[in-house]
Amino acid sequence: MTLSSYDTVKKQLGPLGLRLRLSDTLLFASRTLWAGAAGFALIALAGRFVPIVSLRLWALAPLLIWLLAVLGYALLKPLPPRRVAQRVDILLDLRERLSTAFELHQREAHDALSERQQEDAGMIARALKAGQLPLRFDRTWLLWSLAPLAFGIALLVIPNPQDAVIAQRQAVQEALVQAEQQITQLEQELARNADLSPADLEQLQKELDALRESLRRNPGEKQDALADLSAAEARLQQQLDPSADSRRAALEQMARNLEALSGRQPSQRPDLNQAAQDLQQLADQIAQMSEEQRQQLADQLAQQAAQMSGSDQQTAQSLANAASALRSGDPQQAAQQLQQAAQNTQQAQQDLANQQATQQSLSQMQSAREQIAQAGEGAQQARASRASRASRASRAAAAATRRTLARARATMAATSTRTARRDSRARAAAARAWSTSPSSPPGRRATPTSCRASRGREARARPSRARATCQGPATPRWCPTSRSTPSTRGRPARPSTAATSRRT
Amino acid sequence: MTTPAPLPPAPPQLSPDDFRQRAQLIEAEVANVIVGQRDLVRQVVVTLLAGGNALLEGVPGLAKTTLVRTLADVIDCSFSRIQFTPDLMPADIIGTTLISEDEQGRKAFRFEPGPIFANMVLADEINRATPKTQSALLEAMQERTVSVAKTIHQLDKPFFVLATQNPLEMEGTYPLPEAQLDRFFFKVNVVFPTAAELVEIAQRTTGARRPQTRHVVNGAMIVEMQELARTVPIASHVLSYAARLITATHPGGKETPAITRQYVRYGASPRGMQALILAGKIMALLDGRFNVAFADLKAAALPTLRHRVVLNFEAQAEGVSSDEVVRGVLEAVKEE
Repeated sequence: MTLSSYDTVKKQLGPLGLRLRLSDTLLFASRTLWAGAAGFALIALAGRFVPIVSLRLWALAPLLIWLLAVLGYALLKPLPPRRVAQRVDILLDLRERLSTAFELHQREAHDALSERQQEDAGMIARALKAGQLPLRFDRTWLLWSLAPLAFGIALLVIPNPQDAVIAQRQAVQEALVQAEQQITQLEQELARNADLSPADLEQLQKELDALRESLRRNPGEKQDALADLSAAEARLQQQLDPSADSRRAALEQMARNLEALSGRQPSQRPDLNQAAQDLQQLADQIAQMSEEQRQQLADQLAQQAAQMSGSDQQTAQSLANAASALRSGDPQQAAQQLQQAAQNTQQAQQDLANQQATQQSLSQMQSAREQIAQAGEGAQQARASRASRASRASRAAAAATRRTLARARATMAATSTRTARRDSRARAAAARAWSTSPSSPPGRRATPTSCRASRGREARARPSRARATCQGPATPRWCPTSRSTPSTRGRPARPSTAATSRRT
Repeated sequence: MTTPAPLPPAPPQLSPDDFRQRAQLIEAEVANVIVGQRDLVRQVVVTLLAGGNALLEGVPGLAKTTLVRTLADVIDCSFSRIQFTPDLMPADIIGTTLISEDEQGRKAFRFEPGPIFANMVLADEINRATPKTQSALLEAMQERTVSVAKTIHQLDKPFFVLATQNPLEMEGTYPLPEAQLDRFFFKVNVVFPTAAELVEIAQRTTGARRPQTRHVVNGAMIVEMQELARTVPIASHVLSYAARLITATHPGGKETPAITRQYVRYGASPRGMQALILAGKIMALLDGRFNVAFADLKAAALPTLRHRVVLNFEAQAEGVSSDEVVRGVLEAVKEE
């Protein structure tokens, strides 16, 4: 057996196998492209009805999968040398020389005819070139694949109504993130607020945490986000005290009075803690006060209690009790009531701080709600503004047209009026002339009514010509629009009724 | 004590080139007498080189007998002709035992060989003999022996039966049974010559000079060629193709095409596959190759399988021939 012949065959089978693999891959690709193209078109079509973020990338996914399948086929499809030999034999019409030689070598056949066969195969193999193998692809399937590809590309290129929906969702998503950040910031601010009681702070934080969590879970649905925010707002709204402002005002007024009482300058925004301390100090000083001072203080306390009775009843009651005690000469009771009032003031300070925090949270939520509500409206507003601009432009154009027409009508009316005046003057002159010389030519005497009417119409249409043809007294001629018969033309025309009456 | 391994058969001294040269010589010499009919001559030569028997079918006057006679003239070997008639008896073919008397007057049985004892036998109009007489050929065609009165007589090599039959005159004929048909390596259809060939035939046969032939090979050479043909290698996938072809001629096969399912009662036998492969080997050598190709099997498929595919009544009613069925099988069975 000639090893060289077999080696030649085996050496040639390498590039031939690669060429076969390439050809097979092309055939496979051309026959399966329709699947990728169909997927591409389907996703592009779905994107017209369902908002899909990054639609073009998703649409390319089936084609990418097809490409990977083709690559996998090219790299992983088994193509042993024996199979290559068989296929090359068939494709190049080698009459099974290579495959028989390959098999004879494996069989280790050493008879004369087998050796001759392998020599023959080696000789044939030496002359082989990989390029002799044709590259095959299925043109029919390839052409069928172009239809869904073109359809998908067209769907992606034509403006998609779902783009606006996606843009709105993204805007809502951004607004939600912003709202989350604002809520986090608010929580930090509330945590720093020393006036808040831990229980109130915890309740507020719990509420805000729940809201933030619901906003985080929201995929960009505006209505859901607004509903969450509204629900949270409603819950916080329930915690608001409607009389908090009047209570604060009353307490602040009391604080100012206490500042004045203690000889300090009343401040614009008095501190309620300081007011509580002032009350405590007053309670401590009652024992050292004279009776007159006590009575004076009792009056002031009673007055203060009266002012606060509508807004903070507990403090007002304490102050009123203190005033009564002072009046009844019981300083100890008065001091106790003032201490009670001081405690009430401190409690009120906390309550008001809680109300303020709640109010702050509410305003933050309202701000977030507005932002979310306005999110994504930009594109719609832009479209609406474009439409309204176009509508305004058309309305303006219509109005301009109407104005132009009105001006034209006014001009024509003015011209008609002037013409009528000139006509009447001419008629009057003609009547005068006719009345003075009855033998004057008929054309100079009067103009028939029908002619005047038609002349007026013609004057509106062609004022200059009308003047030239019918109005000039120097060149009188019968009106061409007159329906007078030829016999009438020969006779003197009868004067018009107006002219007759004027003459009469 | 161990039995020695049998020695491998001695490689034939003949080279493939000599094989081809001899075959071409035979064909060229036959072509001196037979005008055209290249396929016919090639198929008869293939049958001869395969050691088989051929059945030639054609209308009268197409030089079937002339071809056989010419072949016998070209090959230097014994030739005998048997004209098959309804009254022909088996003994007329294979011979008979006679009582003979020697010089001393002693009588003894002596076997008188019939015309079958020749290297080349022409069984002319074989379908005119009775089945009993036809079957007298069976043993000779398959085993190359003749049994007479408990004595088996070996036939000389090469042994080659060429039978002819006329497809038109069916009255008074006895169609060959399937078992006998299967013994024929090839069934060759003798086609009508073209107009140009007819002119050539007229010129050759109606003039003063008769075409002459000479012996180009002898019986031993033929045997040598037969031995070489059997050594031609064949790849396993080509063998598998041959097997699938045979399977596809059976109505119940896996790769059976629709035409087989519809029109075939029974398909080709394993002997048919042997014939197909052997014919492919010889065709490869004649083509100058040293291995069997799919194309060789395809070329040999029609003459090998047409008489081995038994058609059903539907095929006969619709006029579907076995050639059409074999062509359908060739189209249906893929090479890979």
